[in-house]
Amino acid sequence: MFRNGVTVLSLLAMLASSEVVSASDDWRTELEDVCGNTSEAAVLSHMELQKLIAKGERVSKALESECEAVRIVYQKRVQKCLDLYRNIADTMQPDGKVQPPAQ
Amino acid sequence: MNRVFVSLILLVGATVTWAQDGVIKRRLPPFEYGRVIINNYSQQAGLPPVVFDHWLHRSKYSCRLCHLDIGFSMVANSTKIRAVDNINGVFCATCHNGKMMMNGSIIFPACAKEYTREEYKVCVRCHQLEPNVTLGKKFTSFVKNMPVEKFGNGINWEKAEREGKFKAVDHIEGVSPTRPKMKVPNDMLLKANLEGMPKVIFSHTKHAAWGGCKLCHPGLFSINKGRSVYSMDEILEGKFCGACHKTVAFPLNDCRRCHAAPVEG
Repeated sequence: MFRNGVTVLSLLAMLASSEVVSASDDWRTELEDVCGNTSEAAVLSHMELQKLIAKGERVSKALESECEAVRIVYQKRVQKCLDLYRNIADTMQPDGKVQPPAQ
Repeated sequence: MNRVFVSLILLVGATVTWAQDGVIKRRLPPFEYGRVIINNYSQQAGLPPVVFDHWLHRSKYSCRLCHLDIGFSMVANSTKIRAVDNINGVFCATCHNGKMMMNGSIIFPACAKEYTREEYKVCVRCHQLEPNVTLGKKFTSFVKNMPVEKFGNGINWEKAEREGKFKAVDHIEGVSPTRPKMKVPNDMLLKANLEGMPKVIFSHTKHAAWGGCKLCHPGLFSINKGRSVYSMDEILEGKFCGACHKTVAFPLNDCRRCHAAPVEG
């Protein structure tokens, strides 16, 4: 009986720890999605850019709860990706056409 | 007449040391070009400043690996690296962790909470008390096999990579994002303000190979053609092209490397 209880508790503990791992890894997966698209950013549509920006903002928020060492490196990285997408999106009309340069 | 004038300017630019901010600066020896003295916290901790030589690192790693993936700023001393960051495995310790290998050797570890007298010898590899003679010799032997260039490190890095003289690592597992093949925009012809001055041939391919997109866009240049209008003065102040070409990449007195288009007329 006692042994069964321990087994159940161990299983619960394992499940809980795997939850923690996956929660903390979520932003890493999302960051990979966000920053893995920068090399083709110039050919993305306005909507695709907006989705990546939203995802990047989620990553940025999630990073706030990480330890300082992780935060300082990855915040900067995600910011660079966001800056690029925002810059491209700013030069585009929502219909995907690029605005002419300002005179 | 125009050609003579432009040639004169190029000649002057190539032979005279740039006198910026009213101060005549000595031309750095090739070994020192790209050197950064990092001294945010070292002296407070009782250590000499870190002497960082770009040539040594750029012969092994791409620009974006350090400046994007690892997070080093492109402005000297603005990253504000602390020993505790290295102890926590970021910045220098991403590679300098006593585990990572380069050319069959373990990369020495960066920073520790405590160190013995023997381990202090590792500290002074970066926190240099005096000029690193070994590194000087290493540079001399490294340069021997490299295509020669007049300025900067005396190495034509672009040609060296093209000829396979070195291969820059561009990815660290667990640190770098996956990089899909890049759709690189075509080369651009940039008009110079000075009449008769050859146009600049800007190659996206050459720049993106080491820097990707984010190293320049939008921090240094807006992505939209024509939105970034800049002068040579601004470049000489370290803005736009000057962010790299005043400090690490071939220097600005190597005029013809950029102003390379045939003169019209």
